[in-house]
Amino acid sequence: MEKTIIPIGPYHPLQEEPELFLLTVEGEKVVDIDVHIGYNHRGIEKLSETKTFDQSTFLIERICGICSTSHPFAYTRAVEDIIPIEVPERAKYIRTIIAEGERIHSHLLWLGLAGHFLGYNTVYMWAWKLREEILDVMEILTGNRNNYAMFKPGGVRRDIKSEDIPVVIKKIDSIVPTLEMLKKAVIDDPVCMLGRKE
Amino acid sequence: MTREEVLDDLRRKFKDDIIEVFDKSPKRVYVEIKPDSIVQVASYIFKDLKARFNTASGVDLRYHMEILYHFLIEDINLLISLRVKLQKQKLEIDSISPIFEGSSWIEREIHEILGINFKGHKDLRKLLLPDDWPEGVYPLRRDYKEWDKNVIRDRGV
Repeated sequence: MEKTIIPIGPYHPLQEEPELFLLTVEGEKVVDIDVHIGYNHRGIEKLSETKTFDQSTFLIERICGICSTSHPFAYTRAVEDIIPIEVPERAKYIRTIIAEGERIHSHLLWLGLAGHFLGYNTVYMWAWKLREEILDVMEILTGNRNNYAMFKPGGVRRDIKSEDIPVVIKKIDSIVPTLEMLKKAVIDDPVCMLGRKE
Repeated sequence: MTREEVLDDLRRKFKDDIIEVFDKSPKRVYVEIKPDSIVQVASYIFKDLKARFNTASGVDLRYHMEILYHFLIEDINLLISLRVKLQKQKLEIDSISPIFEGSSWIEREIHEILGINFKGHKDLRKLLLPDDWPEGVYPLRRDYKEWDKNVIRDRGV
């Protein structure tokens, strides 16, 4: 059968970022794909070469907009490993709290998006509503909803205030029942599950 | 297999290929091997030790270049980094992409950014740099000068 190449991108309303997919199709069947992903290459590695260890942390935080803890976490650990520096106990706890907060909001984000892509926008609305609570918590703890700027080689940049802790615990506790409800609703949903069968 | 058994096994099987084993921490080991034996060692770790190929990283260390292939054995939580040193006069190594397809893009990236030739790679086109990037200009090399007027002029910026 005759082969046809269908380009999707680099600018396409379906995509969030510029990328080009060249699909080779035979009739209805996709037989090959060629992906071009370099449109948004920002050269962060090159830029970091001109910065000090302290300055690079902020740059590395911006590698990913959603997971703005994981990259600086890995980076600061690497710097602490090569110098080497021992991190104080309290800083380790604060780092863990920030990383866990990010984990929760990040999981809620993909869950919402997965629902959205399935055309199941109820999940999207609920998951992102719950994520908003976590973002509020992060704002209380760090001052930012994203790009928290908490990490620094050797420790953290801000302390967590004792008076904030009850508010944070209350907010996190408040999302648990709703999350349980959502979990049950999605897993038990016959329509959603039917669509996932082979 | 436990951590010690894996390391002993590697030492015994590849005693002519391994130059140095550096035991960094309980979770991480660096194994320096000869560049010629990369395919052999990598496929053993991948196929027989059931490791997952995470990624590879290339570094320009001024007098030589280094490629690190990171493998994770999930059962025992051990990260093995195969270290290969390449002399600047002879920047080429066998590609491991015939063994596992997952390494094909990272090899393309190392090729365009550090100028290392991967022999046997099917498709060494540019991955991240623009298509009109000049030939022979490698941005992460130590001797790359972005302020060099000729380079900027040739790039058409």
